Amino acid sequence: MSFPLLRVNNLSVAFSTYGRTSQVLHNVSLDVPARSQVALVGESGSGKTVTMKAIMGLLRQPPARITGGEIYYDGADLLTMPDKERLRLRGTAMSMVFQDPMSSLNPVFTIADQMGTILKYADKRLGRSRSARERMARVHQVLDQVRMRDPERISRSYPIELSGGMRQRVLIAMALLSEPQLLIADEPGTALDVTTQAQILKLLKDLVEERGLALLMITHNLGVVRETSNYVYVMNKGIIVEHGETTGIFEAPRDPYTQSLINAVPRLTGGMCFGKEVAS
Amino acid sequence: MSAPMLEIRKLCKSFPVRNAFGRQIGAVKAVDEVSFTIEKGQVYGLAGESGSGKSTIARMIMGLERPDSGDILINGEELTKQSRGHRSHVQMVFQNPGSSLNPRRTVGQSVTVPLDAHNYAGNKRQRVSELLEMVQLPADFAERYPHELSGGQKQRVAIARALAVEPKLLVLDEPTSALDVSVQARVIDLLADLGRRMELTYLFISHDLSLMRNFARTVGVLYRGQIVETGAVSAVFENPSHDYTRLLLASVPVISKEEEAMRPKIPLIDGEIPTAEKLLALREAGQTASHERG
Repeated sequence: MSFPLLRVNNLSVAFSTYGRTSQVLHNVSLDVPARSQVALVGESGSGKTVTMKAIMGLLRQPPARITGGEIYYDGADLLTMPDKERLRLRGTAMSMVFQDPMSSLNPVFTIADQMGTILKYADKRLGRSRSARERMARVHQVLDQVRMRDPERISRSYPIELSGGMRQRVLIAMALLSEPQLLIADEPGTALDVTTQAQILKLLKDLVEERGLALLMITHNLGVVRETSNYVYVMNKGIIVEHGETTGIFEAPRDPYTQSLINAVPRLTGGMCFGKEVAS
Repeated sequence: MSAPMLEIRKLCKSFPVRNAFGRQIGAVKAVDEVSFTIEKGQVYGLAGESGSGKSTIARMIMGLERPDSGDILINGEELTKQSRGHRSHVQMVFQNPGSSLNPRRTVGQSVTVPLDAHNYAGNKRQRVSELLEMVQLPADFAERYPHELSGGQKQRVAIARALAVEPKLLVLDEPTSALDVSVQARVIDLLADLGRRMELTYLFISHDLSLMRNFARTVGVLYRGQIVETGAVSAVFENPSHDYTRLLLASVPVISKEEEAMRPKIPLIDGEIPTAEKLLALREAGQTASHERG
C-alpha cells in the first residue's frame, strides 16, 4: 500500500490574538509511513509543537485556526471526520509520549489509578469493556514492556516515589496502553540526564521496532534525530525547509538553515572555534 | 609564577538527611574531597549529571554555602578571609535566565544592583551602557523588562550583570542549557571572546559533553561528589579511563560518523544501557558482558 499511515498535506495554521492574526504554519506536508521512524526537528518557535497538536487534535480553536490542508490517518481525513470518530482514534490508534515526566503525571494518584483511568476511557471510546482486574493486568503488562522490574510495586507508587527516568518510562507505558499504531513523541528525555536519556531513547527505539509501530519524533536535538529516525523533516518559521533520509541530510544538508543548524551543534570530536566571529 | 586564579583543596560538604520529625538520620556527601586548580585565563570544565555535586561546588566558590572542610583559594587568598571588595573577583552566571532576572526590574536596574552592592563610584548609567555594549546589546535595552527579551538576550543581560564589577573569575552554571543550539553557539562565542579580551578565567559547569569538548581546556568529571577523572579535555574524551566517563560519553547523542566512532563501547545489561551504579558494580565484580553498544 502506498498511502502512508499519517499524511499531513499542506497544513496551514493561523493564530488570532487581540485582533491580530499571524500565520504560524505555512503549507506543512509530511508523511509517516507505517513502521517508519520519522523526526520533525526545529528550534523553539518553529511550529513543530503546533504541528503535533494539530495532528493530535489538541489545538485550541480559537485562538488557533486551521486555514488550509488535510491530515489523513490511515486514509481518513482527521479534520473533516465527526468529533466522535476522531476521539476514538486519539490515545488509541495514535498516542503521545509527553516531554516532561515531572508535570505530566498527577501527583495525588498512584500510577495504577492514572493508567487504569486512561485505559477505562480508551476502552469506552472503542466500545470495549474490561473488568478492573483485567485492566490492572494490562497495566502491569505494559509496565513490563517498558522494562520496569516489579510492575506491581511501580503501579502502587505515587509519581514522587519514582525517579525521572522511571516516570518517563511510565509515560511511554501509558502511550502503549491501547496498542497504538502511531506514537508521537514530544522531546522525550530532554528533561533527563544524558545517561538516562540514552536509556529512554534506546527503549523507545527497541519498542517501536519490536512492535512494528510508526514513530514521529518531535525534537530540537539533532543528535536525538540521528539516533532515533531514518527520515527527517527540518522546520523553520512554520515551513518545512528540507526533508530526506536522516543520514543524507546530516552528511550533505542543502538548505542554508539546515546547514547553519548542523554547524551550530558542538561536536564531541572538537574542532569548533568559538570567539572568532565576534572578535572586534 | 603567580598563584592560580582558583585553587580548591580537599573540599567536602555533606547535607543532613532528616526524618519526618526533623531528627537527623544520616548525611549525604554532596562533595567529597574535591581538589582542582584553574590557572589564570583558562577554561575549566566540570562535567557531571544531576546530583553529582557540581552546583554545590559552584555555590561554595561563590560563598553561598559553607564547606565542611577544605580550602577555596581565589588568587592565592582564602575565600573566608576575603574582604567584600575582594569578593567582586568572583561572579556567577546562572542556568535559567528566565528566573535569575527579576521580572519587575528593567535590564538597567538589574545590571546596576551589583554596582550598588560594591559601591561603584563612577557614572552608573554610562557603565550600564558600556556593559550592554560588551554583550552586544543596544544601549536602549536598559529600559526594557526581561519579558520583552528572548532567551539569548536574557542570558546576555545575565552575563553583563556578572561582568559589572570587573570580576576575574566567572562561574558559569549551565549557561546555555535553556537555549536553542544556534543561540547557544552565539552566547558561547561571546563568552570566549570576552574571556580573551578581558583575561577572564572560567569555571564552566555543564552536563553537555560536546559543548565541554569545544569550550573547556581542562575537564573534571564528577560522579557522586568525587572527581573520578581529570585532564586535558581532548585526552580525557579520546581516551577515557574511568567507566563513568565512558558511560557518559557513550550516552551523548551525536550527529556524525566520526563522533560515533569516538564514543566508547558500553556493555549492555539485559539489553539495556546500564545505569552508572550498575555499570560500576559490574566492573567491580570483574565480569565482562557479551553485548556492546556501538
